[in-house]
Amino acid sequence: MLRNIWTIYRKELIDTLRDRKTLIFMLLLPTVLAPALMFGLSNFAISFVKKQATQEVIIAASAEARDRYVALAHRQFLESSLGKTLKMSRTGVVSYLIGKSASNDLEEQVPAAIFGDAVAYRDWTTGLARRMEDMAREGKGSDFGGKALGGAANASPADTELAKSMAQGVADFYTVSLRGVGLVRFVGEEEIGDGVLQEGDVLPESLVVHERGTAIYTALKARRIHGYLEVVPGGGSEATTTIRLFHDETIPLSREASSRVEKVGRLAGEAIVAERARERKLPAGFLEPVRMERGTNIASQSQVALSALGGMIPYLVLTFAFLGGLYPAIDLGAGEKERNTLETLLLSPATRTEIALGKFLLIFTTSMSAALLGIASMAVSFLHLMPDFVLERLDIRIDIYTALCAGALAIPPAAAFAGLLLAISIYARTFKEAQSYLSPLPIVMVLPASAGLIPGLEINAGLAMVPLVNVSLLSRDVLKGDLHWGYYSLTVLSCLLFAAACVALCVFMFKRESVVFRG
Amino acid sequence: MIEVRELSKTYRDRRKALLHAVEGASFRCEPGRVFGLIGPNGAGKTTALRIISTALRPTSGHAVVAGFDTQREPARVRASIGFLTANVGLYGRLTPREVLRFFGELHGMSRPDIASRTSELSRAFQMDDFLDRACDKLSLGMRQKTNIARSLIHSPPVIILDEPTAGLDVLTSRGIVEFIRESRAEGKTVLLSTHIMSEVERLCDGLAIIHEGRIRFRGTVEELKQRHGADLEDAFVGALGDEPC
Repeated sequence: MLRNIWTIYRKELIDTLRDRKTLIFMLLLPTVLAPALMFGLSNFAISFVKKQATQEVIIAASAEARDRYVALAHRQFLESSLGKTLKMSRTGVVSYLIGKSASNDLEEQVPAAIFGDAVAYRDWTTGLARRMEDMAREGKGSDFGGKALGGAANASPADTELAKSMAQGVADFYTVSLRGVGLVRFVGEEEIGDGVLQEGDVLPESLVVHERGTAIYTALKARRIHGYLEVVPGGGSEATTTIRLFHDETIPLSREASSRVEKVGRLAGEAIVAERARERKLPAGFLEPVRMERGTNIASQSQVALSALGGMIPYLVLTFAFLGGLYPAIDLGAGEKERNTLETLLLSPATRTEIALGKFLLIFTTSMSAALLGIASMAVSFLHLMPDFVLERLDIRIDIYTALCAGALAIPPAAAFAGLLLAISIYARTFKEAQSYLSPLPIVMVLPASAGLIPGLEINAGLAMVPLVNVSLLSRDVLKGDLHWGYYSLTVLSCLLFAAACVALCVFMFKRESVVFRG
Repeated sequence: MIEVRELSKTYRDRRKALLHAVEGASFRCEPGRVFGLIGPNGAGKTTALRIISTALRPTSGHAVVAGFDTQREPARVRASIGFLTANVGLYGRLTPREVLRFFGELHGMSRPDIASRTSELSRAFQMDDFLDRACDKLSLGMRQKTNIARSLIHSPPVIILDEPTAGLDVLTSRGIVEFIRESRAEGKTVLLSTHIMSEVERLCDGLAIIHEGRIRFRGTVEELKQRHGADLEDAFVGALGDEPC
């Protein structure tokens, strides 16, 4: 029996490996190209978001509204930790770093550059970044500070340290600025012109009552501006100031403008409250009566990352395993019928069981190969295509033992897929018919395989008996280092039973005359 | 030898009605003779051949091939037959040599035996030029030669042919006819299903005419002509109206 199974398996293997269509479309494309595309796309999305964060947004406002907004932004900046650092560093170092400025007064210079003219800000930050890069390139050992200070050979160690810290400060500042409030170009409200509503345009209620509603609406829709700002001060010195930004959430830069203005408003509010508390000598606890202590999480960074992303890995492995078996199953079942080669095989001394098992083993092999190839390709793509800061933040570490325990869970589902796919394929009369029977299956398979992606859904004895759901949930737990042998055993047992049932169904189908000679 | 006794095969259609593909068929093929199973399309020839070759199980009746009962010892029956049809496919990505090795191994032959039998068949059917070329790249004639070699790799004592020349050109058909004659000369039992009367006249030592699943005539070509006229085609059509025997 084993000899015939091996003979059939070996022949199917040679046949499949020579089929370029199978190799390219069912193995290489999904397992190699898909992860590359997935992470490449993520990388692109991250770059896009980063780029958007550094793009200039155009906000129309009256001169009065703009001045009020800049004043608020100025206050929140000086109250921020970076603002404080720069305020304290009243040395020539910063002045040197930020260019040939006449003024050393950072309290005036930096905010003016940020919140004043956008072009000046951009030149300023670009100059800083370039100078920082030069310093990093040139700066080695004790000479770092000297070069940073413009070639002064006798730079003291204190200067060196200061230069280093300032370079870091500038880097931080650059980052914070770009992520936060920077790069807003104000235009006068008269520049939005007079708008005319097009057919189908409906003004929102907030603009219907606005005297320039139509003009604001059309300017936003035409993307001439990304926001229209109004700042309405309250009645008294401690009354609430209202910031109103008309924007369009469906336009990315308009959304970005809203986010920047909202951030300035929130931080400025906090800065003003802190200032008032200081003036009235209120204790720190007045503003922050309860503080949640950070750094109390006992899970490692890797475990946290795997807890969030771990559900994705079994989902992808199961998907790869399924897709890896799909085309070979169609080819070995319905394909053989269509090519009129099945009957010859049925008339050989090999029994139906041997034929079914030989073919099943080949599909199981392609299924497992696709899963292994897919996971290897994902790992390589992840390490090479994701930005460094993402890799550092996630810091995912999986040891060999854990990987083996999780990987072993993919074996029974792959066997089940192979049995099920072949059973359905052999029932079909033609290749096309098999495709139409099997095409909906990935959708059915996706639901249980994505159980690990549902937040809060944990494995229990009941779920450990549900094939695919159990593998998805348990793999996630195993990957994050939470291996429960009881559930593991139940999962393996139920999956093996499921796989055995699928293989038995496949053998049963091969033994049915009405199936193998159908059509 | 092939001995078929009261063989019947019944199916149920989608409306659960009974369909008699073969009903009470009996005939006997002796070694060293060609026996023709003749009938129009849909008469039940292919079903009968599939039962004899163990691909299908009969609803009732028996078939014994080379001394083995098809239901009790199907594997031995399959090991004793070489089955050939005109439309049988080949594994396109394998070469004829690999196809022969695959079926040789399934028949339990050793590697050296397969190699020597392959050389023998390759010489006999002039396959040397394309023995290592992918079957997808072969002409129809080459494919048919490969198929014949495949059915003979294990030197079976019984050859079953289901319309082996259907759709083939004259040259390839002649090759098949030659192969049938040689098999007979070698003392093999040959069961030939066809509806080409010229082949029947040239090859068959005995025949059975089957129509609507039932045997209408059993005897020799001469006996058929005596009963229904000298023209074989007319005789064949005449026999279709006979009572089942």
